[in-house]
Amino acid sequence: MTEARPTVEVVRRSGRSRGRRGTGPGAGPGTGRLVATELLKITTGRWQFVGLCVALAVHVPLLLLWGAQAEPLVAWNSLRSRSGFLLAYAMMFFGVILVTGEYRYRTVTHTWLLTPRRSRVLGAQVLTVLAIGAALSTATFAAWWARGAARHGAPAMRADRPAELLSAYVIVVLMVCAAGVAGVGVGTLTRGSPAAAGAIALSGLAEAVLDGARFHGPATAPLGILLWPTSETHVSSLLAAISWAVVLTAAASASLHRDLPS
Amino acid sequence: MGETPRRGGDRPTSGRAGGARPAVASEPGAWPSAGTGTAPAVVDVHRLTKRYGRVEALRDVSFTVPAGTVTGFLGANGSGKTTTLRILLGMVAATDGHALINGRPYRELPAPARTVGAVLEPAAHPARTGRNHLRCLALPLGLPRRRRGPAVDEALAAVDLTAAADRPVGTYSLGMRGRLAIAGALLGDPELLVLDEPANGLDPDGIRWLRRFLRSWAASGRSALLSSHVLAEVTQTVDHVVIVDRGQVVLAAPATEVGRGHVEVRTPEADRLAELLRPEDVVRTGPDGLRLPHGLAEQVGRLCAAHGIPLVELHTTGPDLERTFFDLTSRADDETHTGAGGGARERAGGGWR
Repeated sequence: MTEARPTVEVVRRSGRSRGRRGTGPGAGPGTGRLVATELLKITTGRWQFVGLCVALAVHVPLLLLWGAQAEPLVAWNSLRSRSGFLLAYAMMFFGVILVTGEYRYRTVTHTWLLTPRRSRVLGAQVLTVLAIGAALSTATFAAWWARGAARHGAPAMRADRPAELLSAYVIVVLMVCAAGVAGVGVGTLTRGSPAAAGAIALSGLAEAVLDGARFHGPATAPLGILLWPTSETHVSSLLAAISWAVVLTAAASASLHRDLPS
Repeated sequence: MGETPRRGGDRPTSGRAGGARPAVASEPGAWPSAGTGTAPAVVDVHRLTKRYGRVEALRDVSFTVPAGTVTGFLGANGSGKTTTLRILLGMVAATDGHALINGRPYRELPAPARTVGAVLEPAAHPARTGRNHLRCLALPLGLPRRRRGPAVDEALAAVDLTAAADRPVGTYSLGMRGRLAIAGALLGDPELLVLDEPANGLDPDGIRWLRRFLRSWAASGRSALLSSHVLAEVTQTVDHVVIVDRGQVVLAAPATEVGRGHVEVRTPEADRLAELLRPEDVVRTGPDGLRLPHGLAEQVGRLCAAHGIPLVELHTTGPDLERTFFDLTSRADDETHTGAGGGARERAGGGWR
């Protein structure tokens, strides 16, 4: 850096508005502001944003090549898996990256200095993943539904049975969001993406081998819903996926007190 | 070394290097008051201990940072400086003792990031631009929307990064990242700066910039605590010195009392001048050179004027922190090697001369 350095002068910004401070000790920023910060980090960090765009873009060739099933029933029954399966695991990975990126680049130091109550940061990350998961799953669900409706007509895609349609939509959103939140939890617990990926992979293998855990563990519970036809819902897998998201978030919250050494 | 600053174990230096103070609050929810001297203490570290398994990183570390001063927290690599600062800022939990800012733990401060500007490491996402990095820090600070942009611009200008603000941080040099980190610390317009090794990676120009910046900071009436293992870089900057060695404070004193400088004289008539001075004050440094105790410069000037002795050079050197530091730490080494004193803790409790 060879640019000329101006005279250093520290000026106290005494006249400026101090803005909205926290209301209590260690209050820090509000949840809305923390979520906005997470979204700003995603859009300015480039790679996470590009990753999300890629996750969406992957659906385009699939939609074009396999979007129009010959049989109306097949189009309906594959709606849930086609709109949610890839996205659920993309969101799980995104949740991991959202958290572990902070540790990888050590920006978690700034984050915790700005918000000493670490659970609030975790809460904002969970809300961010929920918002993004809901938005993306809505987009993919709408796209796959529209493709089927264009080929076979809206009634074939249950437009005349809104409860059925809404149920399919909500389940996709729930699975995608639960997977994303589980990713945040695993990322917080492991503090590193390789460790998180390894933990998820190992868990998936163990769940696949063990009869009782298959489609009910944190890695395979979304499969228990999204691999099956839209007309079939395994409630136990649905509850397991949501429960794992809650349990992993609670475990992550409890682990936040760990030291952050240099 | 003219004066007799004390080791941390003695504690009365400036009345603020620890002292007997209750380790716990007298009332539930209340913390011990920070300092009792003339200047209130912004930072109060009391009997801080940190153990990682069987390794004791810190042991009974106590010191204070008086308000309105720049305090140098000095020590070799691995001496416990960073651990102390991380405990102070709530990144690491203490095994025992406490570290308070304005009488409270960091996480209990009403607006922590606007009370303390901290640089623990020059961390930033490499794909993010410098400006966007600061925007990400400014948003949770709670600045009004209209103030956020100008605050980021001011911080960039203060560290001279305006020209590089829209480049990804990954393209920055280590020194530029260090200055970006300082810009982040300035965003909240804090009263206290805590900087961990701020000169790491700075070129000589950058170090000079940092020195001027810290002087300007102190001149604005605010406080700073900066750690460093490069003594030369802080010698001209700090008002107060805390030296830590192997997890223990071995010295806490005002810089003016630490290893005072001396008067260097060069004159072709050095012998004649030496005869006019007290023999015990004079150290010959060459055929035309004398070294005299701190404070004699004016007397030398008057003597030379009165006796027509030509002066080639007459100046007072700054505090010899480096010498003080090595005196303290090498003495510890010697005692450790000879098995005397039963370890650094006991040695730190003794008087220092």
